[in-house]
Amino acid sequence: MKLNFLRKALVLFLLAFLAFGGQLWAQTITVRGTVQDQDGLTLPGVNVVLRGTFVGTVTGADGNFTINVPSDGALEFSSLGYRTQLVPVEGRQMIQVVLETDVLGLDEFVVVGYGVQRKSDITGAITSVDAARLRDVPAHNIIRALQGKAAGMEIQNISTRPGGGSQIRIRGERSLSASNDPLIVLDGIPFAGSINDISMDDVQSIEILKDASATVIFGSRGANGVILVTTRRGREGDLRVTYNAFQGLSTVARRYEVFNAEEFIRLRNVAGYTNWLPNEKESMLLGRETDWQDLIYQTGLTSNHEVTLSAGTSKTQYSVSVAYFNETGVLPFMGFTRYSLRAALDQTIGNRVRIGFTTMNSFSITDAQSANPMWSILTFSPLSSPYNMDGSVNERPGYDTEITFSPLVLQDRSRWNERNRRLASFNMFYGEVQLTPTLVNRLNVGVSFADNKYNNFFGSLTPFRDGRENSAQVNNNDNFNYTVENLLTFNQTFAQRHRVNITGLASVQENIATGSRIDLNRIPVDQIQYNNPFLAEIIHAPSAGNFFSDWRLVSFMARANYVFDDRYMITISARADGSSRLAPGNRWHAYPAVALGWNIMNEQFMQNVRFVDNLRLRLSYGQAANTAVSPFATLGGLTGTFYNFGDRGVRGYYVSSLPNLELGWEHTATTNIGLDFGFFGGRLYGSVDAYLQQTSDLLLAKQLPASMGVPGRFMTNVGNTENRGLEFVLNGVAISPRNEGDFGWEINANAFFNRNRIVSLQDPTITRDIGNGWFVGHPTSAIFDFVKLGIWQLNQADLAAQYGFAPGRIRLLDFAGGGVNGDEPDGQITAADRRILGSSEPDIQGGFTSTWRFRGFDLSVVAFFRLGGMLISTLHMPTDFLNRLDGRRNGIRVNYWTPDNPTNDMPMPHRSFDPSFTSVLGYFDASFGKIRSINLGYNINPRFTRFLGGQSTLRVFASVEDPFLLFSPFVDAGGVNPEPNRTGGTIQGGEGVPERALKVGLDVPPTRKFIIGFNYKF
Amino acid sequence: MNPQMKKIFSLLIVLFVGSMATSCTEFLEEEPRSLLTAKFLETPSGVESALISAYSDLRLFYGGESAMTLTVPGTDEFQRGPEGNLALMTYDQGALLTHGMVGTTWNWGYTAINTTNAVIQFAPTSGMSESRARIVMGEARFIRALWYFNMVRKYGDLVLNLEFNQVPRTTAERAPVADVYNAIIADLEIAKRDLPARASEPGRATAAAARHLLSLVYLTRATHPLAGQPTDYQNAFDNAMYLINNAGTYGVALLRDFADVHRPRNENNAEVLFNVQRNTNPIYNDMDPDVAGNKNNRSSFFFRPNYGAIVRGLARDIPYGRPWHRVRPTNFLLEVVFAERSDDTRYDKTFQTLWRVNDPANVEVPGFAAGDTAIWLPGVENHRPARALRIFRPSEYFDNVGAGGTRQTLSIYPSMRKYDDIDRPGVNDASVRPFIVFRFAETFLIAAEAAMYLNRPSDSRNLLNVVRTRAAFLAGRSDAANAAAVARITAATPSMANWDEGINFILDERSRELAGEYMRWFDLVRTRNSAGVPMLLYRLRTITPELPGRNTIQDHHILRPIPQSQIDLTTNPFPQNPGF
Repeated sequence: MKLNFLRKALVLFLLAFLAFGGQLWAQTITVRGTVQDQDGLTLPGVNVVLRGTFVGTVTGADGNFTINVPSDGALEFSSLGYRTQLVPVEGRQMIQVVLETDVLGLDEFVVVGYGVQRKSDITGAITSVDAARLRDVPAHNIIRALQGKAAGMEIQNISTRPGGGSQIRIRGERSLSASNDPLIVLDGIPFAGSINDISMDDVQSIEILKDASATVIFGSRGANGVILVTTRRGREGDLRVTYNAFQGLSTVARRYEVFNAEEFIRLRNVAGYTNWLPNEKESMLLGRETDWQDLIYQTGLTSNHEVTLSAGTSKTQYSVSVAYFNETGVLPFMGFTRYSLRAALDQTIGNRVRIGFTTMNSFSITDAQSANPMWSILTFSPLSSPYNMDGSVNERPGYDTEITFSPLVLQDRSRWNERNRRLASFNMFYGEVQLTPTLVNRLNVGVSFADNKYNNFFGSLTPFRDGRENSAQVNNNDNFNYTVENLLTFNQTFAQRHRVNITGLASVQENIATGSRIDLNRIPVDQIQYNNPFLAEIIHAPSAGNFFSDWRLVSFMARANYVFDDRYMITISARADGSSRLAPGNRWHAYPAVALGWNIMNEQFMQNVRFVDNLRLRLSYGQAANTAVSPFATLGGLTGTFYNFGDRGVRGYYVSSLPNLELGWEHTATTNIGLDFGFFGGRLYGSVDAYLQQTSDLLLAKQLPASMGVPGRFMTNVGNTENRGLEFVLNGVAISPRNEGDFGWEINANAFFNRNRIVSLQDPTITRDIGNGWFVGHPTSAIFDFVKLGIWQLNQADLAAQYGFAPGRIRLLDFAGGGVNGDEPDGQITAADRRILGSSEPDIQGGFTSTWRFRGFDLSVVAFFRLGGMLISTLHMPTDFLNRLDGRRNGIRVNYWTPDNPTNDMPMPHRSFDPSFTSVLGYFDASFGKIRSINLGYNINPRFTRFLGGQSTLRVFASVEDPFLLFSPFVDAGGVNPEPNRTGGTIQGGEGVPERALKVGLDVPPTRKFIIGFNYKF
Repeated sequence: MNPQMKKIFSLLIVLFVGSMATSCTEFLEEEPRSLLTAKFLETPSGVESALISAYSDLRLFYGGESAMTLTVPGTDEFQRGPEGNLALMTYDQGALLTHGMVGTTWNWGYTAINTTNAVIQFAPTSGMSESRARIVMGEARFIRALWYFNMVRKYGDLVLNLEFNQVPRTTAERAPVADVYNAIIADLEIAKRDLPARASEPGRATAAAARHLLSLVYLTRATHPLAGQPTDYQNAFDNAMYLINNAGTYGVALLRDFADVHRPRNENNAEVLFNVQRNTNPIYNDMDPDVAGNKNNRSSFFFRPNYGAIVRGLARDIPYGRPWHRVRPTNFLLEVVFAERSDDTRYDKTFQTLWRVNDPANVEVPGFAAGDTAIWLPGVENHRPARALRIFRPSEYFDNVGAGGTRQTLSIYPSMRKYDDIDRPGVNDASVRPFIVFRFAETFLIAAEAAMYLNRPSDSRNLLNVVRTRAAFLAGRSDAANAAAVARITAATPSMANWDEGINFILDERSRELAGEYMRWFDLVRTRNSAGVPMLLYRLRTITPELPGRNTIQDHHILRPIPQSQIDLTTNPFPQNPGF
């Protein structure tokens, strides 16, 4: 049984741990000494650590230190801005050390999977973002703040609501049906939570691992890239307190452009719609007009407070933080609130044992995460009156033959409620034993539990139900995840020139998720809402939301890293994973990776090239694999149905998906070549990476022909995809301050592109799978539809008639269906006249941050852009019921055809709406550029803040988030936001749009945020 | 590290790796605890549940919008209403190809068929009693035959699945229509033999339903140029007559009053041979549009004009229904087919022509109170004077062939009321009524049609007159007056000796009896005039008053196109129907 196994494994880990705990060796002596810099000045605050242990001390104000160490040990002296130096004790009791300044800061350490590496030793493609750069954008989570800041990482905000999410893609999409989401690793443990569970200020640094050599040690979970999040830990020193706070306002950045009263009247007249309501007629006489958006939009508020305490001695360090974040939206009752509590402790026991833990807990509340009243806000007639004569809300201002409620009733909280409460706890415990001076055994245990309680209630008298009986939902789900890992790390330098690092790992992970959902109708009194299902007349457990899922993963990994003379590096890694999600016999997979690095700068021939600080070439090849399919996907399943015989209700089941007894791994092989460079004494530095990723045995949810009789998707391994791309990072110091406080200007820029294409589908002869929207040779996000030429014009009436159209209707390109091969026009629009119109893949995207500093001031501007690609706007398709042009309701202000306005944009309005071919109206150029944030800060002179505490610093800042768009053809054409806000679904009338494509649909408008705040430390 | 430590360390590694290797296989076994797999269908309760699911899938067709759109309008009976799909209802080539509604019968049908295949395959070995197994297999065969019958009439050659599909396959072949009919007839012959004469509970298929369907299948196959057999008319006649002659055994009878046939809460009446069940229990009736939109019974919405938009004082309410105004009667149906409206009581019993004020607060005309006439459609141009907010003569409520083909000025016309539902919980809610699929009156019409082809005109005429006699009955009219009406109406029935006159009369009679009952398009593609032209083409092209689609319908429109997704997802060449 699995429990037995776990118990065994745990006991073994602990035994290994204890067995080596208290070992002693060699004779201990007391060593004293002084540390100086090259100019002979004593250096305080230098870390002095016995190599291979956690035993250490720090030099005092006079640069002196005292430490008890074995006589054959070696001391490592390190300090920021100086080259680390290793000094063997060799029995001496007095040691004088001179540290060389390290101008370039090249020996910074970078967090990699299961360890840290010198930046100069890195062979893989890794992007590092430190906390300070994240803070330029005061967002509600780190992913939002990262947009435009990391090359190769595509972040698309997919919601404009408080607490809204983002879609992250690292180097494009590989998989057609399995997940493309990257793995997030929090302090070394795969993170099973939501990105919103992590408080922004707790983050120390973020590393993005992109190529296989960097990700392979995370195995199957790393195939889509890995985001390593390292949180703050305590440091040795006196108590430090930081208090970060900001307050902000959010307003609607761009409103939906709808027809105003005059235009609406014209639209109805053109459409031939004649059913005017009395109050509309009255409005026309009075010149009265209602702007529904004005009535409903409000100003949202954001506040953030975070207090961190940290302190430590040489043996014990801790850090504790509490945080509060709250944001309300621009629509009534939308909001996101998060409370978090985090603690980290590191304790050294004896000479060679260190233990510690991190616990991160958050409770968050999201209000109105999906309720969408926008349709009722935008479609009411601008001529109808929102209020009655007596000033009360006119609850049904529209067509009294329909029951459509005013969005103004949403201000009555008793009528509706949608709330998600989430309690999440992530805990990591580690124990580390220095087995020998070069060998460390580390045990990591991560345990997390997250519990979601989602509830909603929509009363009958709201736009959500429009008079239908009220409804409520009780939906609880939780996720329990544990990871146990044992790591052996060997670290040694031979003959000063050979640096070897070997890491071995064994791990198990299990994730158990359960969900239960009850839907309620006919709750007798609205006030009860979702609080007592027993009182509802109809209680129903739907097929969605009720589940149990359990997956497990067992892994073994080894990695060897060898550096010769700081010039040549090689990393060899291998990992074997066993996944429960795949079919028996195909569960295990082993994959290798190798990476080479060459520090050209350290070569003899570069000694005289003064202007180069750093030049490093990296080359890697590796394989990763993906198992990201749902648990039990190999088994097939039944779906329930309902029926009745007279009064007797009965349940039925039918086969909705078929088993696949051969489902195996999806493989991705990545080749990466990269160059890191630095010139002119740190004035210009950056990197270039090129890569090729080839994914095979795609995990593919295939739709079968309907004649199979099984409607559900069927998981299988077929087909290949490919991604290739280029990434540039360039950082420059345009103006370097000569002295502290002088004017300085720094620019960080990145740009990247990814070219994705499907190489083959299930069978070499198949070049397209229209039903699923997959086309060989094209990106996975290809858009396949008819080609819109424009609108049939009056002088084309005869030709239009041949195609069965009249002037004013959509004109499509007829290029196929006729001739011997069907590749000539045939005089009619048929399914053959569809082709690939484009894809949502941008030509290039990137971002830049520009920072200016002067005196205590700093000003930064973060920009983000995407060029090329197509977006799908359901706003302009009839799908969202906004662009039907039938005169029945208001809609998006578009340029429609009339005999007097021979436009090619939109067809002529008609009161009888015809959805044929209207999907072609919704494709636009997706390019856009925006200023992500503008941030102005001022560090108040310590003289003025001295009264607040001895060493206090205070920075005040003001920022604007999403202040404006630089350009967007879509917004020029009547959209409000070029960033997508929904996924999935096929498009009515159109075909060939993959279900996972991102789309711009009808949702909360984009917002702009104004924030002021401070960072205070003492 | 001292030697002792080294030993312990090595031992630990060996133990560790060893324990991993032995336990991994177990650790990686999946334990699905929230999933039913196809294994369940091999048990007795699994077989019963699959059968229920097959019944449930009939809700997708009967009462749904796509089946209505492709069987009711585009015929001589109904045409597009103000919010109907213009392109589909007038045989627009492009729309037929791309519109999702055209393929739903295909897509849903095969799922339902696979479920019936599971029942037929697993029932004998599931461990259920032999007698029970025979009945559930009979029910499954009835449902399977019904889907294949609907599909073969719509799409022609079909993929013929008679075994339960458990292994995914992306290839498919179309079997000729003749093979499909053989399979349908084989199923129904078994169902007719094994099913009980009377249902154990409402909604279950019976031998009577199987026999009725079988007679209709024979009648349909008879006219198919490739599948028809010389014995088909005789078989159609024999099966229908057997049911008519043994009605008592089967517990079926014509109701006395036509008005009662579709009366709400009377859907399990003696005339009903088979219906698709629904009730008022929201858990089982698939009424929630968010959960089971395609299984909603929306039949009460489609035929309603937008009465509330016409006059003030008439609000949308439950008895008057939700006006989706998808279809409206053709002028031909109203003026020609239903020209006789006094002896034949079915016009008044089929259509609502009067709406009363139900929202007196909004009445703008002084003197009108709740219950006063809001709208009256007298049905004739020269009507008697009446007091109403609005009166519409036929020429006012439609503009049949205006600009653009079928432009309509007003959403008002006689409203087909067979599906009206007073038990819906809310105005906008779907119907909770069972949907009547087959009823005994049609058995007479089938027998009459077969008799005509078999050159037994007097039998044919007599059978027609059974239905027509019932049509003349009006409750509240004196027996003598009813008898006089019967005499006149039966005398008006033609001799049935002339093919063209006969089939045209039968088609008109079927409209009078069965208008709007999701079968007209099937009837028109089944029947042919003496020149062999399918009546769908013949009637649309020649009838006056002119029907929409007259100029757009083409010869190949007697079939619907195969859904493009089937062709796209099939890895071998899968031919589309000719002409599309």
